Amino acid sequence: MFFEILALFLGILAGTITGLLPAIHINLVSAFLIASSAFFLTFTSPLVLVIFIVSMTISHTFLDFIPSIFLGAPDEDSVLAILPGHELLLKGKGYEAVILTLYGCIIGIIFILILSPVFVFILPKIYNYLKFTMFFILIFTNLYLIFKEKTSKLNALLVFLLSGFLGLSTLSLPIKESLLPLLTGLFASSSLITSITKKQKLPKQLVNSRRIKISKKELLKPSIAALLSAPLCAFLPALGTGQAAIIGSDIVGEVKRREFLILLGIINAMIAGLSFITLYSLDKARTGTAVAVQKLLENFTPNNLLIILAVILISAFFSFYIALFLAKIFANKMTNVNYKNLSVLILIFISVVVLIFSGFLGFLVFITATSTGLIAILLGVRRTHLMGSLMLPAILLYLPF
Amino acid sequence: MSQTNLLKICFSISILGIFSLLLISSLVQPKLISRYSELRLDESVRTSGKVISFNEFQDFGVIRLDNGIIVTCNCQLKENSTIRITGKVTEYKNQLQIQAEEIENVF
Repeated sequence: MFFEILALFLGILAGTITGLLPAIHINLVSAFLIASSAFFLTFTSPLVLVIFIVSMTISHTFLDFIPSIFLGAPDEDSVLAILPGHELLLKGKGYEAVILTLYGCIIGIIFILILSPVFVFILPKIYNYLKFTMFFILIFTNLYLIFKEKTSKLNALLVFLLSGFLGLSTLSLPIKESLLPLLTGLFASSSLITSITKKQKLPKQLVNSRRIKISKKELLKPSIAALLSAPLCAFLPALGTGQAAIIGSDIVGEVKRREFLILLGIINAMIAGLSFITLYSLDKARTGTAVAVQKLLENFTPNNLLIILAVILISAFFSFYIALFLAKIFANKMTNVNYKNLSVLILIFISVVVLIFSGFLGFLVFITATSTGLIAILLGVRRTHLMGSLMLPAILLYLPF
Repeated sequence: MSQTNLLKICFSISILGIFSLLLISSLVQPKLISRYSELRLDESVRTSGKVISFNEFQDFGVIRLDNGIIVTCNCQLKENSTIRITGKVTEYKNQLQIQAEEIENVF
């Protein structure tokens, strides 16, 4: 029992670090853990490693909105939080933006518990039918997102295709951690370059949580939107938080900026948690951390599932308070920091991480992806079209002819 | 720098980068195959497919894919998973098979 509890808290710590550090994704830690599992398994059990991975995933989900909102350096799950989050940051409400996503995460965790029986008992029965239509669902989803583009549908298609071909070429190359240069380039470094080129001075941030009010009405719309869209991500390959948020917000009608941040929190937490439930019910790994759990657990028992659900709940509770505490520190310190210099430092850090983990070929992907990400920003189209980098390869994989 | 110029530079880097990556991938990648008849002895190949069966022996495992290709590996796999394999074509009892060097779970 000692090792299980230790793994839970070490997982929360690891998730806090990966959540706060731009470009360090939990998939990287999971891959390292799997590579060195032979060593860890000499003194512990696979379940202990699984507990570590699950708590790290949940903790990362809560924490990764902090760098996206305060530093403009998201990962692929929190990329959409940049715009509404940054707008609130420029109004001195960065802390409030983080709180909104955290409340969303808590709702997402509650939804995981509610939806678990549906995923365990119903999803396996309908999945086989869905599998054969996967190709058409993916095509339809992407066309829908392109046609919903408010600025220029042609530009949206262009960005989708550019990133799609970039994804195809990257995934066919022998690059270690190929998603790292691809996604950090498309989303993080391009945002940072935009921040560097703009002369931004952050106003003093409001950190009094008592003055932040969230009404029940504000929670209702995003909750319905997330319930309708997030489960799709559990079994549709390459469909991420961004796409789910757009589909969900389209279904329920216009979603305000604050509601959108809550929606992102709910969907992010749901996708992270439900990926483990989907692994149990369908034996399909939808995320990098679920792949790691799949490799560790040869026999995924109902008892394992209950332990994972408990770990999700406990790590969510601690991560919520850790994120509140750290968001307050960020909000207090950000106004004293030179934002431009900080963005340059983060950009250098990300570049070094890419070079270390993915090599020179990975760095070429990183530069190309950064330019593609900048194209989306400069054309003013939704950056979710950049997920074409994963969507196009997935569509080709499910090609029925 | 004006936004139009920046956009032009980004387009140039993006398109040049994608073409370079495609070129490199065609130069360094093992041949992509999808059928048993495409296997050539000693060639480095890539393939993907659904695991129809997986038999584990003492030191290795034998995977049968839905495209009819047999793969030997030092791995743990589950039936019905979709995998991507890179490896070398070897011969066993007059039958060609892939000796896996890398196996990736696709979905």
